[in-house]
Amino acid sequence: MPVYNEATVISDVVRDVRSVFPTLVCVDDGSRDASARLAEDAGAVVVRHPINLGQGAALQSGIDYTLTYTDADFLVTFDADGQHRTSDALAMVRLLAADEADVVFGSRFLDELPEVSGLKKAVLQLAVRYTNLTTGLRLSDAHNGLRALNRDAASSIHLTHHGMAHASEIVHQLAVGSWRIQESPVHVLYTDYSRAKGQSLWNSINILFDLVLR
Amino acid sequence: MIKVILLGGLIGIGFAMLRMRNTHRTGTSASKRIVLVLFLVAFVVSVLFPDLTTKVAVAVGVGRGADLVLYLLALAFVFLTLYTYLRFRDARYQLGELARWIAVHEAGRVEPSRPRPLGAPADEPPAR
Repeated sequence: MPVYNEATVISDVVRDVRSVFPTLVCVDDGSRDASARLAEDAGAVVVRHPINLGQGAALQSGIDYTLTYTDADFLVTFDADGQHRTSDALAMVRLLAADEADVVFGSRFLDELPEVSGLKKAVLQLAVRYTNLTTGLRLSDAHNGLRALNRDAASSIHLTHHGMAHASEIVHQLAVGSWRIQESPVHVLYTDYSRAKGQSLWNSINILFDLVLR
Repeated sequence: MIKVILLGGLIGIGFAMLRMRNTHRTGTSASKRIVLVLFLVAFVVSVLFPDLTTKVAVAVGVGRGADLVLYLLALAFVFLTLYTYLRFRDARYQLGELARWIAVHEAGRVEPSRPRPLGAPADEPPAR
């Protein structure tokens, strides 16, 4: 779980996740607030980036830690701002545990209509198109922070985009391997907090730039 | 003629940039030095023979030598900007990998955790 300046919500999110999942690795991406200590107090293992590196780097550190220092069979990536529901993550892990898939992506657009503005929706759909076009997969949501992977699939990921373009990169790297990929419906809780913390649309331009000049 | 040269130069730069990722071979760095030397020689020659730039400019379809110099300078600037951007990004990536390595292994050294199997009670803090 990548964490960057989430002190107001991190304790609750960590406690909520830990009520279901025994091990939670928070990667503090150089937060300037008390996020790291609060996450630790709430029972998470905390990997501390000495400087802010970006969400992709934080995810990779979380994966590296999990593979190196735990013997977990499954790995879930989770947003720290409280926009994901633990129950959705659990449903995804059950799919992995039942050996029906190696990789499960969360999707906002699978069953219910999420509360996103028109422009944001258009940009997200465009991102999905791009990802599907370049990977040959048929996903409905390319940029959801909730993903579940089994250990083998997780160990095949080596993110080189430290910034926000990692979402496309993860899909890309998993599409190259012959993993069984599924999608699972996810309800995203767009609170005022997560909306304020969430990506602005300007960032999609940065992502596009990163992807072209990789 | 000048249009072909300038656009060709731009496209050439684009291809060089796309090819350049992860290639730090001696060949590329040698060719960069050759270009640099040629640039310096061209500079000296154009200072010694100011009329020459105008002659070349007319030959390729630009009115004045100063214009030709400006165009080529703009091209060089684009190249430099992109090149610096890519080098900077490489350096940042390497810094990030270093920082990540330290962070991950520092965390592992402090508290290697042993996860319980799925569904096991999770109310106590993780084993240290």
